[in-house]
Amino acid sequence: MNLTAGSGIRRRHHVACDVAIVGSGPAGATVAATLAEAGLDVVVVEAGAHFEPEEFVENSFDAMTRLYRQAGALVTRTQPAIPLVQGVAVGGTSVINGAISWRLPKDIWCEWVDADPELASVLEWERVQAALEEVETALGVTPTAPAVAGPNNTLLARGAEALGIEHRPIRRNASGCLGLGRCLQGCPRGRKASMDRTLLPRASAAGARILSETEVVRVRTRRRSAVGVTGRSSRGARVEVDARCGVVLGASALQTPALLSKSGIRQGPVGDNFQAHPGVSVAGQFDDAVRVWTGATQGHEVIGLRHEGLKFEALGFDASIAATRAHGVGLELRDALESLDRWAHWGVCIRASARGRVRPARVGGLRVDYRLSNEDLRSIRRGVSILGGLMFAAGARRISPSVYGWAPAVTDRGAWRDFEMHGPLAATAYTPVITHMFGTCRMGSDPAVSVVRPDFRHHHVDRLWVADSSVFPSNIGVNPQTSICALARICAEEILSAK
Amino acid sequence: MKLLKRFWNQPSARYRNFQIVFTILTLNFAVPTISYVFAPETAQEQFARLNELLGGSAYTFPEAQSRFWRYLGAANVATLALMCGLLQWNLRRNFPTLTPLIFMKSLAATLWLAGYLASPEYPAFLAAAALDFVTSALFAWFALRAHRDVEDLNDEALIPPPSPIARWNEQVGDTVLRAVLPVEPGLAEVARGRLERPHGRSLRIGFWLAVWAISLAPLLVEYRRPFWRLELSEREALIRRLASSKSWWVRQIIQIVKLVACFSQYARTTPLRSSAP
Repeated sequence: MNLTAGSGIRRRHHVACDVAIVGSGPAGATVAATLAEAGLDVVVVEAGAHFEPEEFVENSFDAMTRLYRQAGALVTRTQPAIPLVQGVAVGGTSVINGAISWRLPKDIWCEWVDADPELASVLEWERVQAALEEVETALGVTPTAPAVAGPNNTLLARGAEALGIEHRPIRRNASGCLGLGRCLQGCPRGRKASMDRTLLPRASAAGARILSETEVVRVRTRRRSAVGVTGRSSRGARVEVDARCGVVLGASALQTPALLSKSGIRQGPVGDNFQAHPGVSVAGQFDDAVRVWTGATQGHEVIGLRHEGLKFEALGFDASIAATRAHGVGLELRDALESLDRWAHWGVCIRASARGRVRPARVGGLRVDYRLSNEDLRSIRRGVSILGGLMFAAGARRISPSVYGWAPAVTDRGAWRDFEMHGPLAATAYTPVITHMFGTCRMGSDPAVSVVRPDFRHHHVDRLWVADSSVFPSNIGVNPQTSICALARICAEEILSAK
Repeated sequence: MKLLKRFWNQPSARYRNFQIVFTILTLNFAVPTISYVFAPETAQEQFARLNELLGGSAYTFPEAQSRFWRYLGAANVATLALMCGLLQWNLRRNFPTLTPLIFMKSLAATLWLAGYLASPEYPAFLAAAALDFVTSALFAWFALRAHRDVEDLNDEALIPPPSPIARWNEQVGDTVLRAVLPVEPGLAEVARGRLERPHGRSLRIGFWLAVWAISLAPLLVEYRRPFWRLELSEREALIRRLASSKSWWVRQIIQIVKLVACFSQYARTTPLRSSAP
């Protein structure tokens, strides 16, 4: 790749290009590939470093302190503090996600268009489908092969089958997956079609330049028009990127609104309408070895309750993360680690109704205010209840729901049925994690309630586009990477047509 | 007495001698810092008396009336005291401080000598030059010899150990980590290495806040002693109690330490697997 590392930039650095793209995750990489292949001179600026597959390590501690924003310790400011998981590397979160691919559901698209019919002028359903098709082809999306599924995934299939809930192997952008279970630490064999392995090399081959380890601190404007970005290399040098045609923000639903605010572009509800998919998990102990650290990281899902805003997935991860989920402390914890290999971990992802907001913090970083609604808590409780039911149906001897105020280990299937009715509804009883974030620069025709127009252009600043999931008018209830890429591709087409 | 005996009989006599000499030198600079600012006439009187004893003319310059030179002089000796203290604190890490320290003192000696050559009627200048040259030589002799020994010795062998507060902090962290996940060897060193990475800053801050909250928690409940003074069984009981606290914040404090403990444990062990199922 045509890459310049910020660690090598010690003095003021100046670059000129047609389009400056902030962020190299799914949105930034898709826009970069599309624009570069159309002949534009593109510079992608990324805060994280570039890693080759052989540099990805097995243990999560090393992976998180190298590849995750704030080592996974970025949390919401409200009680309970919910971790917000993001990757920080060339390729963005695609480097450390489970490679799950979902098309934008039609019902979600209908919701968007019903609320703002003008969206359909750019996001026609056929156009979205064509973009999704192209993205899936580019990323080689295929269902998880049974040969690499591993016990954690096959047990979930067994549980769902027993309960009669619709389920299927997850479609993933990891066609040559070897089932190493290391998606969340970065695939050591390069089999995951993350952006650094697919669209960024494509963009680079078409002439795009990538500036890694350089954090953009400001979007520069002149006479209400974006003219470039200013960043800082990891060595502390000032980096200026002048953009003749404009600036595209693809830095995520957290970083993009914060960057706009820091740049003084605060018109409209920038940073408001933060939506997410909080996820919680349940562990179940089986008689035979499960070894959640083997097999496709997330290879099976239960989709029969998606209409309720609930989607269940097998969760594969490194032993260290599995260990943190083991019950107890002290000697109890040490003993629990002895049987770690027999625990399965499955999660439920909630299409939450809560709305939060994102602001730059007074002292560096971000301030994310987000509080789960009562409706969300009921969904979480129902999700946990069903997860437990799936575990028992799959043959678990006991389950560990990790819910404060409920038994730490449940062995009686009958007793577990009470959970859905009597389980706690306090947010602090659960330990959710957020991996999908949306809506903080939502698109729409009304500048009073949206930040960008239906064609992804900023309402108030010319030559400034936003391409990441912050433009989604709402959360979508499914894993967003493919939809982000598809919408980013449409954004790139709009940039080309505007030019 | 036991500590003094251990100090005296430690494996490196050079490190011991360095600590003794530098303690004297640190005090030798720290005390004048105060007298230069608050009692300049004392220093001037001592200098004049020395000059007289060496057969010089009466030293009548009104040094004690000066504010400007007095403050500069006080800052100078304070800097010297700080540099000596830094070397004592961690000779290995702060060793580069030795060069400017010797430079400052040698330059002072040279200036005293120049003063004496320009005004031989004040032999106290020569005495001061000699004293500063000797001090510079002491800096070099004791620090260089001790540094050679320290390079080959573990921190545990040195008394006092390098960066005692940092080491104490790590020991406190290790005690808490062991209570949450009792494994041998301890996990603090593994955790420290990872948390010092740039992305680890937030987690590092959270972890140390949690460690100190747990360490001081027993003072607020019935134990009346910090965590590291508790018996093993008391530590375990307290950790269990905190882990099941009604307070979400207290539970999170334990959760942070548990997370770091589990991460550290698996960061150092042999990979559990590396092949497909």
